[in-house]
Amino acid sequence: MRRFFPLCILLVFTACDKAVQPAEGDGTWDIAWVNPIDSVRAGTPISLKFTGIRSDTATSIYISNAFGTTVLPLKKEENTWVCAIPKHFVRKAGPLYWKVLYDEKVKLANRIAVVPDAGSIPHVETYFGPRSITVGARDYSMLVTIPTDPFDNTLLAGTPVTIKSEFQNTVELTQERTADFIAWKNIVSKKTAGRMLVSASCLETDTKELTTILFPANAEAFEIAYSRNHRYADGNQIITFQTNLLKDAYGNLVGDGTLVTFFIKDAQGGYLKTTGMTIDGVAKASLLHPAEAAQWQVTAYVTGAAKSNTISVVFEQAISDFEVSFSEDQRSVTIGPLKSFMDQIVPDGIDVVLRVYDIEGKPLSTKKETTKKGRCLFKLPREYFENGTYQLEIAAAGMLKKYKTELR
Amino acid sequence: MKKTNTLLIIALIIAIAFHGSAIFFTLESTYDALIHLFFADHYANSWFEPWDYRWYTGFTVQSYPPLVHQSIALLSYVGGLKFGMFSVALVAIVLFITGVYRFASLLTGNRRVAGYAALLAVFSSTFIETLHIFGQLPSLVGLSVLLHSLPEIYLWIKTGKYRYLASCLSLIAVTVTSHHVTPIFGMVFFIFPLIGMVVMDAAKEQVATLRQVTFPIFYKAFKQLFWRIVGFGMASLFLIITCILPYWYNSKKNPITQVPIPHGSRDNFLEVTSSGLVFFVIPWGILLFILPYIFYRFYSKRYLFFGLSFSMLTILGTGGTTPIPLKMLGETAFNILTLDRFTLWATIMALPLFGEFAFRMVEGDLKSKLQERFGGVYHRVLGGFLAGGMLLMVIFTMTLGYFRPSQPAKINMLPIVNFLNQDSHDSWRYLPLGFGDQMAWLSAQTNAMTVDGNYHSARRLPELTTRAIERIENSKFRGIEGIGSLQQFLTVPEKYHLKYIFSNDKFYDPILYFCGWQRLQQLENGIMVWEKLNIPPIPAIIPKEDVPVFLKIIWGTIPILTVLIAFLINVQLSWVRILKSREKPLLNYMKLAVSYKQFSGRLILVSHIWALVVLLCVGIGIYQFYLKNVAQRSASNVVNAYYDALDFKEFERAHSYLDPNAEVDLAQYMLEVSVTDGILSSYAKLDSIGVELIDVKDTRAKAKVYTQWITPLEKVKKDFFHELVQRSGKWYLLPDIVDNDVPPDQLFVANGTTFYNHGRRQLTTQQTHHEDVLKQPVLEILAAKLVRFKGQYSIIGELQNVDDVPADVVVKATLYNDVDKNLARHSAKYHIKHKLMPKEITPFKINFEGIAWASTKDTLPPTFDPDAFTPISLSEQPTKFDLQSAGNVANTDLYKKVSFQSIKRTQKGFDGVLYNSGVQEVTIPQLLVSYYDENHEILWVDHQFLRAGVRVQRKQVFEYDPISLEGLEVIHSSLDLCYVNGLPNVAISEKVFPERDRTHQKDQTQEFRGTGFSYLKFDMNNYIGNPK
Repeated sequence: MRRFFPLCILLVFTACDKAVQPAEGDGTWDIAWVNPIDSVRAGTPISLKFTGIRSDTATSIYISNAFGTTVLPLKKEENTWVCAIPKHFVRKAGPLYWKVLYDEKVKLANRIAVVPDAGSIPHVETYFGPRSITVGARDYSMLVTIPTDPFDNTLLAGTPVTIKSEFQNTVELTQERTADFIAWKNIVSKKTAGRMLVSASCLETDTKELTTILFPANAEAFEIAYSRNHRYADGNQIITFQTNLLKDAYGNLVGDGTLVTFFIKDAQGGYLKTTGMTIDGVAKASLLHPAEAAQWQVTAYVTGAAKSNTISVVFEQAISDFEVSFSEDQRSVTIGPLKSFMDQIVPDGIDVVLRVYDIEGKPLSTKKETTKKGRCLFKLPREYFENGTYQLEIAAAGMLKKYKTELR
Repeated sequence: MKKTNTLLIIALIIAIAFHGSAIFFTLESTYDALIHLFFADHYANSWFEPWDYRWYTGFTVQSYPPLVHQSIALLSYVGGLKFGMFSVALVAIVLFITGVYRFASLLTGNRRVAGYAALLAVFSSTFIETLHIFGQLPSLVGLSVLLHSLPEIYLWIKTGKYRYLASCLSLIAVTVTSHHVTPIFGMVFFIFPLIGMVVMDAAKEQVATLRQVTFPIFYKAFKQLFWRIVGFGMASLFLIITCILPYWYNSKKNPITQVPIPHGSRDNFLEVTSSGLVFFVIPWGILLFILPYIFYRFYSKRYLFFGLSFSMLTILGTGGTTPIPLKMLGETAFNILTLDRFTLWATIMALPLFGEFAFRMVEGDLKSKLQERFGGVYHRVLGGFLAGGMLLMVIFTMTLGYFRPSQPAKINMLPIVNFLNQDSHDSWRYLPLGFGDQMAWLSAQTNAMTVDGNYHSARRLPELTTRAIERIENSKFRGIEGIGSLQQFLTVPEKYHLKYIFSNDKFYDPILYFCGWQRLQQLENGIMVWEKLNIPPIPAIIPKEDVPVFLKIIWGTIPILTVLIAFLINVQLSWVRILKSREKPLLNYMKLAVSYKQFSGRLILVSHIWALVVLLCVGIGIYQFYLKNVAQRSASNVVNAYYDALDFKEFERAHSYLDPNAEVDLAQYMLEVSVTDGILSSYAKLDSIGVELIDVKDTRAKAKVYTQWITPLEKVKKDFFHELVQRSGKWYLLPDIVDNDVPPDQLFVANGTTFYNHGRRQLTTQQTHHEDVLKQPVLEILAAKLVRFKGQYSIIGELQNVDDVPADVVVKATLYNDVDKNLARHSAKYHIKHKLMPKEITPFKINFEGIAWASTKDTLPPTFDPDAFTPISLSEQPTKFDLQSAGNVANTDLYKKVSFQSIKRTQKGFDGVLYNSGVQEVTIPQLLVSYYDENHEILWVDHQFLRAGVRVQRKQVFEYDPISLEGLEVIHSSLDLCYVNGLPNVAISEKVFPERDRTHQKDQTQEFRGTGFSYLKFDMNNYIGNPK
């Protein structure tokens, strides 16, 4: 509200302007403004000089402009009466209204136009945004400049402003003229990603440098590949999927961190999913080798924007067989040693499952263990498995073995 | 006369030396002291303005009598707030000891006995507890001044001299302005019996001995004194009302309509033994042994009315142990009052008689009787036993806070205060978590505001008043209501301008993460600062409730005036009196001293029997405690003990319960335990455990253990199987099978993108420079639907970060009915990935949560369930919605390296394996499952927190059983009213993603013919407890 207050006052006085001019003379007064000024540059000191004023104490000068409103005393100098307008009022561009008041009556009124100080070196405020745009001649950032005089008065309409932009060593200059206090330009993005610098100059003043980043556009279709140490499904090696360079329609590498989803279907109808984020256009993601033979169909997506080719990855069975041995009372079952593709002991941690059924095939218990040094041991204590015949099922590395045994 | 003074002076010296030095170590970690300090800080800064913005989004300090706070505030001008607090505490100590002395003189008429009482008051466990554990300064000051006023009241009624009326009223005024409950109940429990005693004394003067006082004589005496009693009664009622008039005005205007907060003093002490200890055993202390003597003396004719009052106080103080207090007080008063104060008053009322007992024991008739009956040695042993017991209670009470800390360790507040002061951080509200009562001290040191507070009677937000929690800060101790209340603040923090959370308890970390908060920094004092993006600052003008100016003036002036007047009347005038006449007449009541000659033999017998009973009870208690703690006596005990040890992270103890023959040594066990991370092992508290033994054979057993864990996110029920074995009479657990899986690589390389946001590049005290403000990342809402499922309305959908920078996502939805009336608004809580990489998609679901138990009549569920959800009750049918989403540049919590190594169909659902291919250990993986119909239109979003974490280069299995969507109804499906960063979503999708290929999303779903849906999609959201 406070900001609008001077404006309101101004409006009120503009409205009254005509009514009070010419001054209501009461016949006995004969005031004259001896140094009539039509317009001044902002910042120029102004003194109003009058003659014909009778009493200096009861007479005052009322002034009002966009800065505010105040009442000032008159000072007598020889034959004239002088009123110096305070500098804050003089610095504000726009109409400066004044009145000579005596006994709350307006004796004389007029106004002085204060114009922006175009002669001094101006200040230029600049605003630039958004700070990042997408390449492709569709997106743009807007540079707004507000040239002002040293007293923060906006310069007159039509003031020329040069808008400069630099992109990859090419500098572009354009001339704009202020309208409604500002001069502006939409700076449209280019076809290559990068950083664009802009600035502006107005009269002798140059502005600071402002930046917008031109981010690459959406990715286009791409290719994927994989790498792995061997082709065996040993459950203990890493397979890495990798894209080729992801580029947008203009050949820019997509922005770092772009998420690529690798979606995998295996032959059994299972699903796998892993994600990678691009660095310099390449996304990598990894998974473990499966523990049993498998065939994977891999497709990668930058969802909504781009899709890769589909590649097929085949894993061969690494563990071809495993031994199962029983203790004398049949209550300790040892599986292994599990051996891998070149008869080496498998790395620790292969899942082995033992399911115990009674003679009718009713499930009694399921035990899970992982191998250590290629072996794993299950115990069937007498407390839980009374002497008798049981069916055992042992599953490991995608293979299943069945036994019928008599616990003693 | 000289001798009695010596005892009092010794008592004062010991009190000041002992309590005066101890308060520096105890007072700051008491429950209440820091709250009073905060109030004092308020007065120190704005004496006459009762409104304080810093707590509860604004509250009035006229909700608590101000004298003690204002005194601290005045003294704080001299040496700071803590100086003020300790000075007032010292004054309280002196007032209390002298108060007991005067009360005892009044009751017994014997200076020597009163001296003993003063000495015993110093060591009374109830006083120690109130001061050093509870820190109830106003209550202590109020009570002490009330004790001082009692002799004056007696003298006024007895003699009718106006001097006494003036002095007693002046003291009542001080009592009123320091504590409101004390004078009101003090009237009933101290002053009424006192009046009865005066009348009794007056009646006695008309006959020769007390024995001859009959009811007619008593009634006659009462009639004679009637107008003095009425005069005093009316005058003190007037004082109670006028001295703290603003308090009553405020109580009338803002009546306490809140759900009662559970308090230990209302427990059944036999069931909740910890409450019994704190609220019964400690305050009574050694007095328990001489209860027969106290009752015997109180029920003598002169003290009859005190006897009645004392009995009532004793019974009321037993809380919920018997149904009597509930019946006596009525439901409302029982639930509002803390009943420990009754015990406090009872024990203080007993002090004069305890003094009398001590006098008779040390140098009176009891000594001679005991020596005569049992010999000198027995007397000394007995005396030693009592004195020793008393000292034991003193030490026990003083060190209670040391052995069972009621507060977190002392926090250095300076870094937090500095943080709030820098960079305009105090333009937002903050919330401390896990600070205990120290939060009040933090609030006192900063101008920043919090939504929480530490004076629950003044709470205003319905989110708080409808829950039985005193603070959100310690919400984990308040179960469902606590976490529920906290969740509301965390999910819609913009409503409260809540941007910063100071976490002193990592328990809350997961809930913060999954509600979309991010770690900002760790301060030097170890406190983790969490922040939420996209929160507007507090507006410059915030509303307050104003009160008339005269109330402000009353509040600001009268309390201190009452002290000045009381000082003038009581101290100044008596000095004048002493100076004028050397011979001071013996005070009226001092003439009524009885001579202690014949200690009743029967009483000695009864006391001995009673003492034996008490000792027996103590013995049984200790034995029970022992039995409970013998772990390996039975198979179920060892399981319980094992889980107890795990719960408290006492791994060495847990290891001792494992079968020694299994040859798992401690180092190996610790290694195995230390590598397990996840919501159960790091963020859970065991809530209940049930052990079912199956297949029990002689020395072997299998146990099925049903456990329920409280975690910040949800209640976890998990069943465990254990095999048990008995070896030489002791039961042991067989160690669990260890996963032998070895990660493929010893050392591996991982490259990643990291982001850094400078915040302000240019130093400024003004708003951040325009060019330092980042553009909000652009999001695109891909689908949004209003659905009704199981009677609840939800907004579900999917959105994508279509920008080139990572985004923190906030989604807020509003429901409207047909005529565009706003029905409800809420934000997405758990069902969203709050942090998205460029081009990443997240499903989301917004549940419209009501304020739980908004009506206080709703029955509270008896057990904890943090995941409990209160659907909002909508008066009308919502038919459309708008969706506002906002992105902000994110640079943390962007870990996306948990892959689905396999998702296999089972009969019921899916068996999955996760694999962590990155370099961070994921503590709590969250599974987000989207449901689609046959046209790949999203229908529902479900989530599942996995119980165990995923370590680097390792696998973790999960099971997911899809739910049935039978009855799900899509009410409205449209992207028209969806906005991103304030711009219409349609415009964004046209501009940023004009050629979107919608088949990509379809390709990534997997088929599952479930009830009401056809396709599913799995996503991961990973919480990392300790980012490296």
